[in-house]
Amino acid sequence: MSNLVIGGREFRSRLFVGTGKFSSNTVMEQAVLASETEMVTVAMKRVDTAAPQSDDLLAHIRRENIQLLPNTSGVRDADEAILAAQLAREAFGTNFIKLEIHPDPKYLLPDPVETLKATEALAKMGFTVLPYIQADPVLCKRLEEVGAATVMPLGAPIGTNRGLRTRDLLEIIIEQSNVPVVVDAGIGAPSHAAEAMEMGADAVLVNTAIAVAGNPTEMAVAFKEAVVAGRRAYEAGLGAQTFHAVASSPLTSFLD
Amino acid sequence: MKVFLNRQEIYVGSRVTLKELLAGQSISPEGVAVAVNNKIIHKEDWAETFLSNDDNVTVIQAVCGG
Repeated sequence: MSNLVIGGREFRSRLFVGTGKFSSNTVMEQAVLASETEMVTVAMKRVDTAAPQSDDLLAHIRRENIQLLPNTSGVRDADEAILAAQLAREAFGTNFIKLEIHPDPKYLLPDPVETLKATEALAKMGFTVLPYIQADPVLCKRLEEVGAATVMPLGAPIGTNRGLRTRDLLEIIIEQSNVPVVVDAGIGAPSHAAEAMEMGADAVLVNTAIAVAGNPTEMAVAFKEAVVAGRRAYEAGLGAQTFHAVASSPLTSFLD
Repeated sequence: MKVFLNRQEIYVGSRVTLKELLAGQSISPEGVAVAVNNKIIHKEDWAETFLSNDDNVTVIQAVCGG
């Protein structure tokens, strides 16, 4: 299978994993390692001066082969996102940034106008920008033009586990894109991940479905296998679908 | 004078550096990033960064997220 290249870095794994919603950092670390992911997201928050730094999250996920992908979750507009990205670069020592600007708390849908503005500014500042966005093929082309390193269209709203509700639009995005397409958000089962990969997505990002599983480590392995299977199938070339039956065995009468 | 640390008012002496402010609040330099008035201040500059009245200091750290 071919490797994925983003921001000049090569990834053997096409499964990106988020660190939110796990029952503990130890459970999260076990799932991350079991998934064999090489791209792991982290968020940022303001230090609480009443109860400063507790468990060191980064110690659980810093590995030679893991690229940290800080996100800008919590920002409301492009200006805040740009500041958040700079803070992330300072805190984590990486130019990679998952740009997410979703001011609406009910559906957490990304603001396309602010995301486009921030992507352009951050790309000019040397960031490797991975914007989380609607499954909007036109927006994806605009983001590509202003320097996005990937596009990350959603399958369904964050944390819903509803799968590829945007499938038809994802197909158009994948067909048109000159940058890697990472399907993010809504992937709730390994079959959803395999479906995205069979369609030709370059990677998927999974968090909730692993974190809230009965056994997160086993689920991480299931996603790893599904992503590999889906990618392998895509590269092998899926057979065409037909409406009528097409025989797989000879149809001559058996004893003639 | 008064500064804002993560939006909280804090009263400090008149010639206080960023490094002193953070040490006074028991904020360790590991794994954090700091901006003063929305401008990033690198760790090596904390000791030479003197704060002014009403400065807005933002300190962030990593948390779990997707």
